[in-house]
Formats: sequence, C-alpha cells, structure tokens
Amino acid sequence: MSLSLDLLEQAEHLAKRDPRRPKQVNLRRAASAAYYALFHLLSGSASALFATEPGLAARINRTLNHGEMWKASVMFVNDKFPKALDDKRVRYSTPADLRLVAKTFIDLQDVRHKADYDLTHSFRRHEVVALIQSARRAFDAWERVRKTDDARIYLASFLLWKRWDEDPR
Amino acid sequence: MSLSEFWINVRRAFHDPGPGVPEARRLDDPAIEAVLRRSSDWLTVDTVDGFDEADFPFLPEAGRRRLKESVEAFLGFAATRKFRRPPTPETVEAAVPVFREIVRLLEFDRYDSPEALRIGKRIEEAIRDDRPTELVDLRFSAGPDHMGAPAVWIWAYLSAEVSEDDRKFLEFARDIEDWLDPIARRIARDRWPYFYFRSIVEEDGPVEVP
Repeated sequence: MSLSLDLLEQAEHLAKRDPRRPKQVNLRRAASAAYYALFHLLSGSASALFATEPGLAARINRTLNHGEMWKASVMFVNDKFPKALDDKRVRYSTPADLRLVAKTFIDLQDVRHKADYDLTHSFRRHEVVALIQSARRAFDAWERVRKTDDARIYLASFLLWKRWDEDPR
Repeated sequence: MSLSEFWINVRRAFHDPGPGVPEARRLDDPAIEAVLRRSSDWLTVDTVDGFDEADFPFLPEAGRRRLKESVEAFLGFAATRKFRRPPTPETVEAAVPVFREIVRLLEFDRYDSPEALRIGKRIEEAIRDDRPTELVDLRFSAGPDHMGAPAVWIWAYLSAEVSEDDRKFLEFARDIEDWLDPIARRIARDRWPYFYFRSIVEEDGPVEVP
C-alpha cells in the first residue's frame, strides 16, 4: 500500500483505539496523520508529474513546501487559475472534486497545526473521526479528478504558482 | 465607540480565567453568578465603557434592547460608587442580575472575540429557519490561522442521538458542513471557515495534562 493510504489507515486505527476514553496523544497523532495522508497523496502526485524513478521523485517531493501548497490550494478553492495560463474569455471555475481536495488540504493543515502545536485545543474522538472522513472524501475526489488538466495544473502550481501567476510578457 | 472596546471591557471585568472556546465551560446563570460573587471589582462605569447600541445590528431586536437596558441599569448601580469606595453589599446584590444579563448576552463561552460574536450571530440568524434539530450548538472563534490569514473556526455540536452511531454522525457532519460552508463564506467573506464537529455528549471529555 502507498504511504498516503497507510497514513490514512493509521489515522483511523488511532482514532478508534480506546473508544470510551481516548488518549489525547492518539487523537492528536490521528489528526496529524490524516493531514499527512493527504499531503503525501498530493506531493507524491506532484513529483510524479516530473519523474518516475523513485529516488528522483522523492527528491522532487522534498522541494515541496506546505505553505506554497496551501497558497495554491486557496487559489483553486476561490476559482482562481494562474494568470499566465488563464483564458481571459471565460471565467475559471474549479471543478467540484478538485475544489474539495484543495479545501480539505487547507482544512487539514489547520488541524495538523492544532494537533502538533496547540495544547489549548483538546481533541474529541468524534471530531477526529470526522476529520479523517474529510480526508477520505478528498482521496475519493482526487481519484476522480487526478487525470484532468485542472488537477495537473493544481499540482504544478505547488512549485510554479508564483511564476505562473505573473502577467505573461 | 466600538464593539471591540465594549466587549473587551466586559470580558476583562468578568474575570473567568478558564479555557477559551471551544473548551470553555457552559456559562449558565449559576456559573456566571459564581464568578461575579468572587469580587465586586466589576461594578464600575469602566466595565461597560464603549457601549453603543448601534454596534449590535447583528443581534435580534429583543436582544439588542435587553442589552441596552441592562447597560443603562448597570451604569445606574455603578454610579452609586463614590471615591473608589467599595459598593455596599446591597448594591452588589442588586447589580449581579444586571451584569449577569450582559454577560449572558455576550456568551463568552460560545464566541471568543467581538468578531466571532458578530460573525457567529449572523451565521446563526441566516440558518435559523433551516437549522436541523440535530445541530444542537455552535461555537465560534476568530483570528489569524497558522498561515496568518484571517479565519473563523466553527465548532458544531451534534445531538446525542446522532452521535450514538459513527456512521450517522459522519453523515450529519458531512451534510452540515456542505450546507454551512457557503453560508459562512458569504457572511465572513474575508475569512477562511474551518469546521470541527463534536458530539454534545463529549463536551466535557477527558483532558490529559499536557
């Protein structure tokens, strides 16, 4: 199984441990794993745009940045296509499945920050189970949309958004 | 005058050092009164400084009127304090229900800032007619997210009945988020809405020492 699916499964496993009195450590790790599951699904797909050789793909993967992925995701949720690629005659509208993926990525990144750094937030079991469901929905939506140009442009935007969002010369 | 100024003054006077939203304990009348009876420092005109009824267009008319009347009554009690002398026990006793009403209307346990109050009340008003009974509570927090972008966090509490079965809980959570997300984006245009779903029966769940 892939790392992303393993992480999703790990998240589910941790969230379901001790259903009556769940430990914060398990809920936090489950929430964080749900984010990383989606992160690795998308970052793995992004590096696969450029390389099939696993070592090279992994090195490309290391160049991806959570913040840049977040920024590109916000743009796609808001129906924004990189300026240089945009067809000015038609208003761009992000496909629903891709919007769901990008939105979930942003949502889960917030969750991951709470899970890893914010001790004022204590997680509840239902809360974490719902977050994992969101990740699962994003996986399903990605499967439906991943072979489209929109999805490939989204992935490439993790690295190229800044360059592509400038007005073309 | 501003909503923020008034909200912060009341929050400071109502000194309840517990956790904030969403972990805040429920502020029902006995809980509010217990805080107010610890001291009478809150009984000064500064506590309601900055109040302007016009800052609360998002409150239903009845709530706005109650808030205005409570602030006016509060000022009447606070004005009896002269030269920094402590208020008489009778004055404090008479002022407690008035200040309790102000705190109850601002609901610090459900809205963690003036902006959260403004956004939360607007969202609740927008969904009032369609709100499913399974959505038993909402709590709001506003501020910058981990990227420094303006955000609003919405904690939705689902009923005990829905929470008995995970599948049912997840179905409701998904449906409610799909329904609420565009409403929240329309009302708080400049903020990213983050949704968290909890069961009302887990509200006082175990919290381990960090």
